Amino acid sequence: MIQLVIVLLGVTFLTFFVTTLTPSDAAEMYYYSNGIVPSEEQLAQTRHEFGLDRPFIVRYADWFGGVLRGDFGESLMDSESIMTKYLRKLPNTLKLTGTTLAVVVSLSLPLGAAAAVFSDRLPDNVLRLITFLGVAMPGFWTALLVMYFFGVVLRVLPVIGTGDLKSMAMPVISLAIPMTCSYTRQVRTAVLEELSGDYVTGLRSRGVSEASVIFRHVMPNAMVPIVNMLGLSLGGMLGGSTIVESIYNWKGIGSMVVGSITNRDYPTIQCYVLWMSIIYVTANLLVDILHYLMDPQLRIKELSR
Amino acid sequence: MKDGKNKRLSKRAKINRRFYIMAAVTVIYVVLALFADRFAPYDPVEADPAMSLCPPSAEHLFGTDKLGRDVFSRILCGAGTSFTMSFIMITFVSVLGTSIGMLCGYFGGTVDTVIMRFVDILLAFPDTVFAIAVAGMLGAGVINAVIALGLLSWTGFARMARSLTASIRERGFVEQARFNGASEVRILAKYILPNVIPQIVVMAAMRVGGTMLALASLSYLGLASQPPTPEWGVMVSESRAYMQTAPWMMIFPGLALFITVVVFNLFGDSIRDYLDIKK
Amino acid sequence: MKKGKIRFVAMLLALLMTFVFAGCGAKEDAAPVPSKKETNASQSSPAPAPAASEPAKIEPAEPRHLNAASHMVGTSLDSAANYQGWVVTRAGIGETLLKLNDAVELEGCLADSWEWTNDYTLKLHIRDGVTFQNGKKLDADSVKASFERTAEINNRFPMYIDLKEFRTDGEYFIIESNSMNPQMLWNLVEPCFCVMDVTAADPVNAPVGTGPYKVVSFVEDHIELEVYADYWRGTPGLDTITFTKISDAQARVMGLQSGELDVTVTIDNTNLSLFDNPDYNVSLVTGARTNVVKMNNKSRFLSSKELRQAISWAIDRETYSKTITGGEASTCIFPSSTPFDAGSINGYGFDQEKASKILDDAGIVDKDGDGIRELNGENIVLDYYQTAAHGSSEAGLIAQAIQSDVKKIGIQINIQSAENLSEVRKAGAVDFYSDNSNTVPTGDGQYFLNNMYSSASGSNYTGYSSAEFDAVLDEFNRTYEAEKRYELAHKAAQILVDDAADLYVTAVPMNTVSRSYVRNAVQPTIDYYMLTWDYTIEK
Repeated sequence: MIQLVIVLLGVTFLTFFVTTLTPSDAAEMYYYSNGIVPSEEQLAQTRHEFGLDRPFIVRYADWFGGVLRGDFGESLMDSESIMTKYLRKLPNTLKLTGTTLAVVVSLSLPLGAAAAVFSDRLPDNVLRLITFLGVAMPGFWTALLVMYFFGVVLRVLPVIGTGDLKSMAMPVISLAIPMTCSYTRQVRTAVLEELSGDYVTGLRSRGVSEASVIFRHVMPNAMVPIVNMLGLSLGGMLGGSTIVESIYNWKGIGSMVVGSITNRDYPTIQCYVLWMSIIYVTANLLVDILHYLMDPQLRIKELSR
Repeated sequence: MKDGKNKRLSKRAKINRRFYIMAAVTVIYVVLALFADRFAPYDPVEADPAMSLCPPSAEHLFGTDKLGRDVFSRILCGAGTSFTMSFIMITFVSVLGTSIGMLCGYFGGTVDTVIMRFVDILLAFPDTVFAIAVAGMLGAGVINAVIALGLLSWTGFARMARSLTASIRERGFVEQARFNGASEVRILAKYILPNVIPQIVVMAAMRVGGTMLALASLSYLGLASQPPTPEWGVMVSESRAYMQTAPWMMIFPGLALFITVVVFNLFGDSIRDYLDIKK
Repeated sequence: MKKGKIRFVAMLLALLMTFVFAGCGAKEDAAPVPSKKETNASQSSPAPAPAASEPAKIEPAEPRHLNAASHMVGTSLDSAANYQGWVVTRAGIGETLLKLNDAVELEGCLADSWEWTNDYTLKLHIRDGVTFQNGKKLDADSVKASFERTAEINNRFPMYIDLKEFRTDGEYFIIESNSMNPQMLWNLVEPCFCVMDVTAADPVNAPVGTGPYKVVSFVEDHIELEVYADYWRGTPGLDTITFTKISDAQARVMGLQSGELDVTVTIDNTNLSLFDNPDYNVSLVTGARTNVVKMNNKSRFLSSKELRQAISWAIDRETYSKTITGGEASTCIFPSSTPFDAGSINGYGFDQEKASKILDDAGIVDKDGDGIRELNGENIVLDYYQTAAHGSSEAGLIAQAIQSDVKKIGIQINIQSAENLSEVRKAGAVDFYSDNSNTVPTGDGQYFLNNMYSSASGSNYTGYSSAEFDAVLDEFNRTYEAEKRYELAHKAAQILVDDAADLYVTAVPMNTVSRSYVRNAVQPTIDYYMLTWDYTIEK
């Protein structure tokens, strides 16, 4: 809890401070984004309305006070309440995140386990090559290629992000490719680690079948570091996959924040940073709880106390 | 038994060989990147609107962009931009992270605890997402992008340098030096640093590819390099509108970035393996 | 051991298969959802499926549904707020008293006649037989109420009307101004002056206007519209419309190709060639915006008129318009679509020899032989600033093309990126910067010319100053008669060209692209408008 407060205070203060260093002018951006060339008087008036003419510390105190009361301020672009905006965008990001993670887990677990079981043999080598390449793919490029291939060449998938399953296919594919690759590698490492454990030799010598060794003993243990990673990925993804969301016009938090950045809509970006911090702390907490639930030893220790 | 030894030896030889090959490839790549403007068949920024959007041909290997600039030449010159940015960034971040980590690891105490706690927090932050937000706050520009990414990425180096320092500190030769009256600075510089550096170099080498990707992503979003600088992320971003009419503008810069990252990742892996077996 | 491994492989395969099938299954399970949606949509849309023709025989008529997409839809449909009015007029929900036709001339809309009773008083006759979409009759009082609401909510209001009072007199609505402002008449076309029923319960999500299409629902970036059958010009030829915001031009292109959209606007000109076939209609016009490169008339080098003129001759506008921006090369600040006779302006062609000669004659030559001319003993190196503003990469491409063209006459340009243009402008370090302005914001040039070029204006960032120009402007600001104003605008534009105040590069073209079965999807010159009442679908 203390950590939460420290993270929130520290991160938001830092980012708020950063805005005072930037020469960007949200007032100017406001007019340009509406295709208007503002006069000097209009700019001054708008800066005043946006509260940009007040000192930084006053603005920060004001803002933080608002957050404590549950008031996250208004977007400079369209004067919409930022809270409303987030709540509107969040379900879309959740949908994308959930589906992608499901795809990633269901592919990388079996693939990674296979790579570990056949380590240094053909399946492992093939997978190693593929995952190595997959990790090196620039995300924005992958997304554009997927769009080009499925949307332009084959024309099998819709390009407009309406939010239904079909329109989710391309963003999910784009997100899942690099993630599946890196997860497969992680699963492989984790499973290999477990396989080299003494208890595996013990089980095998007791004549426990190989399948049972893998599925009943090795995999559950190997899940611990994987769950750890998943928690952090989940945290990262809940912030919206900025690039993929904006490439596919997916109306989630990621594309929203890219829009806010283009328009220098500071209150929205600021809330985004706050949001990321909250997610991060929560994800860490969840990972700890899951660890506790999954690791029998920890529970036994707790019980014996 | 003998068989096993031979196998291990041949594995060693393999790793050695791989390291030398990768090192050679990387050096060639870097030299090519840094002197790309000499090799480029055309001026990467010179516009020739009459040659707008020509498909790939013998004359223009990768076609031309909307302003009639040769995509191949721009990609060649983009290598330099990309490499220089990443190199500067990694150097800066690793020096900073290592210094902080060494000081913390050597002196310990409350400052160490506080800083490392902070590092732990930052370490788990989703870096690109955070960098995008910070770069957005700071405004566009290469320096701002480097700062935004650097804000988080020094922590990895600090963590590693700290744990190495803490363990080296307890070793005999350090005790000996201290006993002989060497100053703290001398111990840090003469005895600890040389033992920390190899690991840091490995880490830095393994990060080059990822840093290139991150910087290119920021450029793609218009937050790092700005046109007309030939930079791969910028080029892919510019190509978006011509996806259907001139796909070569999108495919080749992305491919160049992809191959480069693969090369640097392979190089990083081979350095790691090489140093592993040397130990 | 081996057996174990084989069994393991089998299990692994089984596991993988399960996932794959689960994946497919999930997709198949889900498939009926979108298709259900499709059938839902096809009740209201002209279903492309041939099977639909059978029930169509029984049904009286197939509903005519239009899927339209634009780059802008705000978070509110309250025309009085901020710039939200633009969406209200573009979607055909609300209308203004006067509107601009495609020749950018005033035309009656909700008002059918108007006159200045004196220099301060504008009297408008409200059209008879117009009703709001809730059936309520439009009269002078409802107009007055709507204007009062705009005055209260919109912070641009004082810029348009220097209000003394609004009055009504029977069928007349009267605006009295504190100051002489002939442009006030034109300002009434600005969408913030949409006449809406102020008694509507939810002006943000369900505004009630007088337009051909009325709002059924408005949920994030999607407006569902239905036809208002009692529309005063006649019953529109559609039944329902989905008006969506898709900010990315590439996505709009693909949406049109895949059939997800029937009509869209503002696609990148490079992509127009994709629609150059009988399946689509492309409507292309010159809009009211000009790509201008502002020249700092007070900077170290550009204060030389000869240098500015030479640069004006040295840039190849025709090629820029062909390859970069589309549309036409500019002769002056106003595009040819305006009624100011831009075509007869005596402008600059592309003649680098002439440019070099002007410089040679003015003694601006390359003495030290480094390929760059000097002015007052200093190499001419100019800073060209760009911003991320306006999101248009075209401005960036123009900058790069100009850089390369003027290099050929011995002038160097460095392209710089600025995060904040007004800071840079204030510091005076800038030589060039890109601008893309609507030159006739409300169909009239007065505001724009005063704001940008009057030596008295606080927004005249480039420091252009000319007594001759100011005199023309002064007369312009006191002239009420439209034809006379057109002449004065023309005169002012010519002076700016003669002085090479800025670089007028190309006019910004605008387009509407629709499927061939959509009729009357014509791009208006003024982008206040998009879905006009005569849109229809004929299959």
